[in-house]
Amino acid sequence: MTRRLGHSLVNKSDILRVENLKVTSANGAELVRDISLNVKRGEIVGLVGESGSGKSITIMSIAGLLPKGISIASGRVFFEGRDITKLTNNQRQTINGSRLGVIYQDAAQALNPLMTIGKQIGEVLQIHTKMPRKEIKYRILAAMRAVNLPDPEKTYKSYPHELSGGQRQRVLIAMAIINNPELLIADEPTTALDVNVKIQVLELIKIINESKNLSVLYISHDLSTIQHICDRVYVLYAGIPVEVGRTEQIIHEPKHPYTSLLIDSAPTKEKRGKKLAVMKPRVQDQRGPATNCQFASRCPFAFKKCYQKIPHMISAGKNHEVACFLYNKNFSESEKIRTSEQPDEK
Amino acid sequence: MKNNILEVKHLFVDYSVSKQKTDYVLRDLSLNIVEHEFLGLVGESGSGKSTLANTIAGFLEPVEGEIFFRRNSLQNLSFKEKIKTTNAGIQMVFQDPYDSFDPIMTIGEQLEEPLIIQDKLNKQNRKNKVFEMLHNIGLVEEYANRYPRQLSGGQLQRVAIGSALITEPDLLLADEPVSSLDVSVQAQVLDLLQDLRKKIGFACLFISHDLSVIQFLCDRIAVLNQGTIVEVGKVDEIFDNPQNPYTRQLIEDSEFLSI
Repeated sequence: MTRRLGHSLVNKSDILRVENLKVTSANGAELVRDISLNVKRGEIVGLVGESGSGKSITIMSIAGLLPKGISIASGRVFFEGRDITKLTNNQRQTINGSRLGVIYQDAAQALNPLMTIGKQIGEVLQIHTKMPRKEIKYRILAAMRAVNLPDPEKTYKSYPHELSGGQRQRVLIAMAIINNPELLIADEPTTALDVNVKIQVLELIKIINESKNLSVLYISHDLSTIQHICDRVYVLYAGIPVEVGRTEQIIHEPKHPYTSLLIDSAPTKEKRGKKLAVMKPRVQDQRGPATNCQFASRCPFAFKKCYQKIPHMISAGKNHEVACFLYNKNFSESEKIRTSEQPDEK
Repeated sequence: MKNNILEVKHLFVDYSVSKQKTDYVLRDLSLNIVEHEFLGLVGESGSGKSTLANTIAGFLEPVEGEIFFRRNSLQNLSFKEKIKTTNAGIQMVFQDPYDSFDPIMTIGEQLEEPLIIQDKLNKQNRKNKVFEMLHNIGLVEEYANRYPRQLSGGQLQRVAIGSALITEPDLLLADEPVSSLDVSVQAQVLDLLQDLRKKIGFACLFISHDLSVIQFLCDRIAVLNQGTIVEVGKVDEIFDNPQNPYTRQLIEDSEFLSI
């Protein structure tokens, strides 16, 4: 306890703080360019972005699970006040599975097909605690009940293929929370699920968050699920956050052109018969060092400066920040209006 | 009154090996699609959406019931005979574009293949048609020489739609064609379907678990639950006034999740 107390003096409210994280592959491609983010205790923070934006690489960096050949080039990751970017495997074991729980995207692939559900959920306790077997079993059944798995005694002895997709996803959540972690990282936990199951899983994460004051970093490409669960949202584009704010600000008053175009790309009844794609298609992923706004080539408002410099996060209201030159006060109003006309709107 | 392109009558399908078992995946399913109509098919996983598409396409043989395409029965025909009867008039697009293509065939070759099977055009005309389709799906000619893995998911799904529509079929079976795509890419693919619909004109059975996509794209919607169609009607009517409790719940859930 003293250890934690000492650390909490460094930063009382942040359970996770990522500072200027840059992750590169062996051939120098920048997979994550410059990510800074923080998760406060008890907070659910969303990380939204399309494929290739660096969401999964970011959480792999946090969990120390980067694949071979991909490594953290610079930046730091503080978990409970301690830099966890350079841990040995043994040190990592004291965090993953006990203080940090991770739910992976594909429930079918994350489970061992030859191991019963009960055993898989309890494995974390077997490795990380010296609990007697009886108590482990008791805790497993309690965790299964907590995530609403049907007939826990029976499901305990089942194998993954005997469960539905939604049930398997719940098994993963049970595995991630059984050891009472401080932070839960959820990587697209609802992507492959039916709408009603999606809502159940979201509700479940919210309930655990509230009852156990669990902090959550929730990753998704889908703003519609994020809106129901997250307190704050980071919008990621090409390995750099372009906007952060409270969820309702991001959804209802998006500032960055990318965020608003992302929201406008969703199909609705009203848009029937009209053109849906409002964003220019992505040309090719630039994987070299970023020298300008990465969204510039697709942005309808881009002007000269966007192709020359990287915009930094500036305040766009209370708790709301955006990395876009359109909101830069130094920039003259007249120039903005002239360049922000949309020439290719038709 | 428009003509029915497809009529499915009292279809029963199962996957069981023994003839005794009656654990049907599709039970007494009937539906029709008229010319140039987009029919959206919704339902949760396991409801039988893909099974229906695969049966219409001829990959599965129904236990009972009949499928009529342009009023020709496809009953008791071999797969080859079916293709002949339909004159390659039924084509299909799948969810994962990377799984749908041969990794060692170029995009141009794959676009041309349905035309070779259809055997209507000579080589030069086929090539012209391939370039015309590339243009239609928004790719420049040099893409003909590329391989699937050199394309993004969205580009490849556009190629999948292009190769399905290159024979100018009357019916496109689209099994979750936008489900694995990012929102901005999904928008491009939906736009492409609308564009080609105007240009070429075809009917479509559009399978999706995303009601907002169906609301955007389709004329009618059929709701599938446990192998049976529980409700079918015009998109607006169903969304404004769903009759079946299952439909009501589905719409409620999806409205909760929409922005």
